[in-house]
Amino acid sequence: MAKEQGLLLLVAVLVVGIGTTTAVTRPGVWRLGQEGTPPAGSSVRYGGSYRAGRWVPATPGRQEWTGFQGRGPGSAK
Amino acid sequence: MGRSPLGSGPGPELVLWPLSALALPLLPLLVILLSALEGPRRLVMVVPQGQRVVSVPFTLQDGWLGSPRLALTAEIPAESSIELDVALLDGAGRSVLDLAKEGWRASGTWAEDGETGTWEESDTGVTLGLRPGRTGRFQLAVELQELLDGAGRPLPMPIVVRGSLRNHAVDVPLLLFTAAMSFAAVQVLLLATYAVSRCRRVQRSPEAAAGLRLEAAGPGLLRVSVAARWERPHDGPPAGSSLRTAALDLVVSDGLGRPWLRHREMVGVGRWSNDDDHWLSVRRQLYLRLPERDSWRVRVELPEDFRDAGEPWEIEWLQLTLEDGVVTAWPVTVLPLEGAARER
Repeated sequence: MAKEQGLLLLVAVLVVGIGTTTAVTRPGVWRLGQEGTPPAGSSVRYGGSYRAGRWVPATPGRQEWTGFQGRGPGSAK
Repeated sequence: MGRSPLGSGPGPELVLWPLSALALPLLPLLVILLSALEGPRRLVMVVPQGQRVVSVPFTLQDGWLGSPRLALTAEIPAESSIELDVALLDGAGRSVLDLAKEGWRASGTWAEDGETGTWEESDTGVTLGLRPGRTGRFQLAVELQELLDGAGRPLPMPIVVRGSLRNHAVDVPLLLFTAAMSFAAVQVLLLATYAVSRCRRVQRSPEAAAGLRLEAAGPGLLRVSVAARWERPHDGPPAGSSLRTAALDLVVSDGLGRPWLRHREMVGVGRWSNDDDHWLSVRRQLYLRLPERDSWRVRVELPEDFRDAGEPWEIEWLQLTLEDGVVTAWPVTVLPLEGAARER
């Protein structure tokens, strides 16, 4: 076996090994209790998120911008 | 011209191990197939307006073999929109995750270039991929917040929410990508094995004979490839053909001009047509095992012209290609030179 053939075989084996292992073990999948929220598709709004292992409900109003009036004279708004 | 001796059997030039690498890209595809064998757990919930409906309990498994994947779809009428609250409850009934989904379903007709048809689009699904941290029983709680028709009026009807749960879902796009990338790597390996040669010479001749000289010998075979094409001197569709074979002569001689092999064989003649173009062609590969390093000369000859069903065909070109040091993936007949040398 020539050197470059051995190297190419090694590359193919590594690609299959790493790709298949990662696809099966899925180390990137969100775990319950992990920071934040898991991805869930489009038009999904979570009612809270995990902070330091605890579910913290999002307080309505604080994330809404409708109540924000800003600063400056009333005529500028 | 002496009869050519029979070819010898497969030698060290038959290299098979790179072919086994073709099994590598099949491995990720096999994993996809195996994961598809896990039937999904089905959940069906009928959700009336304003009520919280809890599903039957199901198990979410933790572990390294795939990860749980929970897909929910709300079945709503056409031209409507929905707001659905979904919560994941743990074994004690506590909500561990809650979310709101805004979905819609729309349809219509299209007309373009005189053709018409209907289209339908919707976004009513939630797909959760998560690990529970610890294997346990969970439930889903679903509440219909809002179901509106196209004009924004509430629809007073229950909806059906269908769920599908797999505990060992794998990353299918990554597996497909892995299969494609490893297939590409294996292709390069096969090319690096079977499509390389130490030395390659090509001669294209307007006559029916060609000869090439090259410094050759060493591990591997010398591949002699001959391709030739004949055409008719005038246009028009040719009459029926009875021509099947043509005589191919091969002469191999060493640096001093001594012939080591005179070989004649009948090769099949292909007949081709493309619109008003008609031609005859020959393609043949022969293999030689050169015994010693020398300046070898290879000469091939085919008939200059044919008469076929009363019609003349004349040589258009002949191409001779020599490749030294090749290995093959299948057994080939090798024309031995020593035998021919002893015969003289």
